[in-house]
Amino acid sequence: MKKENIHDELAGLSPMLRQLKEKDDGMRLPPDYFEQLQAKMVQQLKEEQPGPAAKTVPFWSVSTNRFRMAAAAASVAVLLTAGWWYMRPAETIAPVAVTEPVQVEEAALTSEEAQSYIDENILEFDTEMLAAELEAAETVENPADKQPLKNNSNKTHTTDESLDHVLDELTEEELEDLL
Amino acid sequence: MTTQSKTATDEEILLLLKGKGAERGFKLLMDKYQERLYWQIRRLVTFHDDADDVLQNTLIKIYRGIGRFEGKSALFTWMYRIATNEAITFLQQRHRHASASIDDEAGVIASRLKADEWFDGDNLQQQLQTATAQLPEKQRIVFNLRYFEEMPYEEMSVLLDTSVGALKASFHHAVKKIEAAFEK
Repeated sequence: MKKENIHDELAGLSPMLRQLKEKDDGMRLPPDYFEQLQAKMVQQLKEEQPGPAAKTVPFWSVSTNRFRMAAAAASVAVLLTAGWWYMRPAETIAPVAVTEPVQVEEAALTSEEAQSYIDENILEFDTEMLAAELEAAETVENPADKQPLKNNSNKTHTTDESLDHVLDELTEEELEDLL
Repeated sequence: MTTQSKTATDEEILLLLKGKGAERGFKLLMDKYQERLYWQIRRLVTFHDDADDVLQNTLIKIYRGIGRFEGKSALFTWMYRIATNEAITFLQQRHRHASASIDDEAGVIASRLKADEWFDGDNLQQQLQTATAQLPEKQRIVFNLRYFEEMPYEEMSVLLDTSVGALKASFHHAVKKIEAAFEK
């Protein structure tokens, strides 16, 4: 029945192949191939220890264990890193307060540069603070004071002049805002 | 081979393989299925020496993997799929190692068939083997099962997990390609 079906099918599709099917396909085997194959396979499998009945660790289990180990290692690494982070010496980064005077390091700026900065940004300074600084600068006797502008009386004088100059240029509205 | 081993059921074979009679179960399995598996593989890889290698690999995989066979499909279906995968892997490796183009590959296969001591078909049969070897893998599988094994489409559908309509179309397409190869 099967043969008739395929032959009927090929008759409609390809008479050439239908005809060819009737012939020997030409494929041969060594004599006793299957007997020898069986003996060979049995011997080979005997030499390889675990048979089909041996308990084998499912791949998913192995991969799960490996995954667990990797997760544990990662957790330990995170904990160690967190511990180090908390235990490390605190770096004090004091935020610059807007209302505090800008401390100009003696070696970083020249007095001219500092003055120029003040001149250009006078409006950003707190006038009360500025006045207090000027007053303090007049009473400082120790030239080793950290604030370079106060150390030099000339600079103080210059600052006074600069301040006058700036104040002269301020409009009334701006003055009112400042006061 | 005894008559008794030929008539061993799949259940008996599996019981032995999964239990303490693995060696005997394996012999019974080979008695029952090795020829069929061999020819399935041979028609895919064409040459006996290649088929021998692939079959041995297949049998080893079957033996080692029988513990995982859950019986959701027939035993032969499961083994056939292993055999087909092994054959396809082999063909892909052969194709990768070959430096010839597709057209040249046909010439290589034809030359090798002429020299093969385990092929003595005439010129037409040689052309058929060469043309079949050039089909895409899935098409070749369908063609072999239908043309050489004369497997009904319904059985093929279960084996390959493909619809009957798709299998018929694939077979018809393969036939047309082979005819075109003959006309060249």
